Amino acid sequence: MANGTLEPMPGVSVFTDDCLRTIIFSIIAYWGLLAVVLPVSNVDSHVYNLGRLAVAENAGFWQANAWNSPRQVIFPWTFDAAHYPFLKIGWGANLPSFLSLLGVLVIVFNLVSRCWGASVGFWSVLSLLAMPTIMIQATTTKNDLAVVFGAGCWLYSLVRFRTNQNRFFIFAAALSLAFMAGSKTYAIPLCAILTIVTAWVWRKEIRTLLLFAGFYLPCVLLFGSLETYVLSWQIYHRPLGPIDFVHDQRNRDGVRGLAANLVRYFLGNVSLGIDGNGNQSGLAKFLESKGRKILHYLHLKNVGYAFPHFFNDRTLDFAKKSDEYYSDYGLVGFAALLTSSIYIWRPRLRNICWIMVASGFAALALNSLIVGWMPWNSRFLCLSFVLFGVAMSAIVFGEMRRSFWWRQLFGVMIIWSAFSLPLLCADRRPIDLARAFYAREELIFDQRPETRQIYHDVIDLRKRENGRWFLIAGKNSYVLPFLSLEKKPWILAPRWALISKFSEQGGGDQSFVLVLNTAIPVGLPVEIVKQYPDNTYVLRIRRD
Amino acid sequence: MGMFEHREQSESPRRQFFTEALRLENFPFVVLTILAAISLTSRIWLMVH
Repeated sequence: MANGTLEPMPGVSVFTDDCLRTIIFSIIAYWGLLAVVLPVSNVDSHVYNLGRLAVAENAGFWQANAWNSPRQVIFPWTFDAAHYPFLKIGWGANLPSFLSLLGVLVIVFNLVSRCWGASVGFWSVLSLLAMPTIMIQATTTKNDLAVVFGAGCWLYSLVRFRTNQNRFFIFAAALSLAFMAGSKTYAIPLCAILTIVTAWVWRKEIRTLLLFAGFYLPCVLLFGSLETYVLSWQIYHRPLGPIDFVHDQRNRDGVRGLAANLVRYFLGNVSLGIDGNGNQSGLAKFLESKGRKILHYLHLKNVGYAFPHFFNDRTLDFAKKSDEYYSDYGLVGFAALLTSSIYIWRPRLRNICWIMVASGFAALALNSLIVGWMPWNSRFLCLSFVLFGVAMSAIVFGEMRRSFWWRQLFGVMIIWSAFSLPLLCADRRPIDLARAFYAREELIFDQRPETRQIYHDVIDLRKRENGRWFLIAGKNSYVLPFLSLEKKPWILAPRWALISKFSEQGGGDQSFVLVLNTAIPVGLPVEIVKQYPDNTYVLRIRRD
Repeated sequence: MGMFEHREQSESPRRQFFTEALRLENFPFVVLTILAAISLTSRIWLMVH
């Protein structure tokens, strides 16, 4: 008996399960608080992701005149629409993304624990909590984590159905695929691939497959965001939007673009941790120069870019500020990428770790092939890095169970990264928790501070002057904060002819026009009340 | 018959549903269903109002 109790277990570690559980709960509590209190702060949400909800609320969905950006029309909006009640409440706008992350963590823990035990499950969860881009995306209103959550739910449904033949899991598999496809354009090919995989998995269970098809079609109709494609077809005569716009966003160089983007994503995720706003370490600059050389030697110079007239190898940007746009997956992400890059060369088709690594690279390749490279594409790689992170944890803490020092080294790195992330990142610092209360407006306009003065002036004018308010906005304008001012309705009128018509009618109340980032035509019957840089004005319509 | 089994049998279907939904392993499906329901309601509201 004594021998059995004294002999050290190979899995015994410096970090006990209770210790890991406590760390995980405290880190989740911090990020959860941020998700509840932080306002909408990113440019994309103010312009189109959530801006379009305000446009649809003001002017209706089935119209062609009030949308000020093609992105409000052509991008699927299933996940964006889930933010609508939170926008009305004014708090918790980031909760849909955060709940998606929690869902992913529970799925990871459950699936990993089944294969390697609870300890490896905890390490897998912790490795995800240590990756900057994943945590930033979990506390934002963008829709990238919805794709990971959808894919995770799909896999979890299939696994749960194998052990418990409950029909609900067939429905959940269909719903998660439809929800994923309705949340993000680049998730559509992924959804198609996973649908084929589902059909393959259930190929011998015809009844299950038929039931899946029976759930899948209505789910796609209800959650696939089909209405945005119909609207896009009505306005642009193409379901995917204006041809130039779509062409600009994608990789136009086929397999060469895929190879170049893989090089860029790999080098962009070489990381020793967060650099902060100043990029002090110089690592980003070093990687950019090496990236240019490698791409030049491989004859892949300037291929694979989105908006190639704007982005090219000269403007390559691997900044590691850990904010909503310029971020990577940190030291843990880099370790996971390295581990996966080595592990992939030992193909074992029945090994779950190898399947995870291969799926991560397949998702990375799919993304590199479809989407053109832009400096802020890191968030598109969430699925790949979740798979790499979980695979790394399973390899180090599960497969290499007997190598004590490797486990401790990786353990310290993961815990250090998870704790230091909020202190080092540009957004989501502990002070931002307090700023959400005493400097909320500053956070809202954090990424475009020049709009804050306009916002203040408009609030003042709307208080002082009675009358109609028109809004004319450019394709990259912050519309959400202005349209959220509810006391007086907005008339969204992107066509100047309508302004002239109101002027001719004369009489009645005064009319004002807020013009955001749009040039005013000559000869318009208006006087300038306020003028700001970048073609932004508050105008008063003259009464003839 | 153990006490737990007896309690399970006497539970109403509604109570059983909520007990099942509150289990941590079912949390992802609860989140998925809630997000999908909020999204569908909001989209219908914004399309028809």
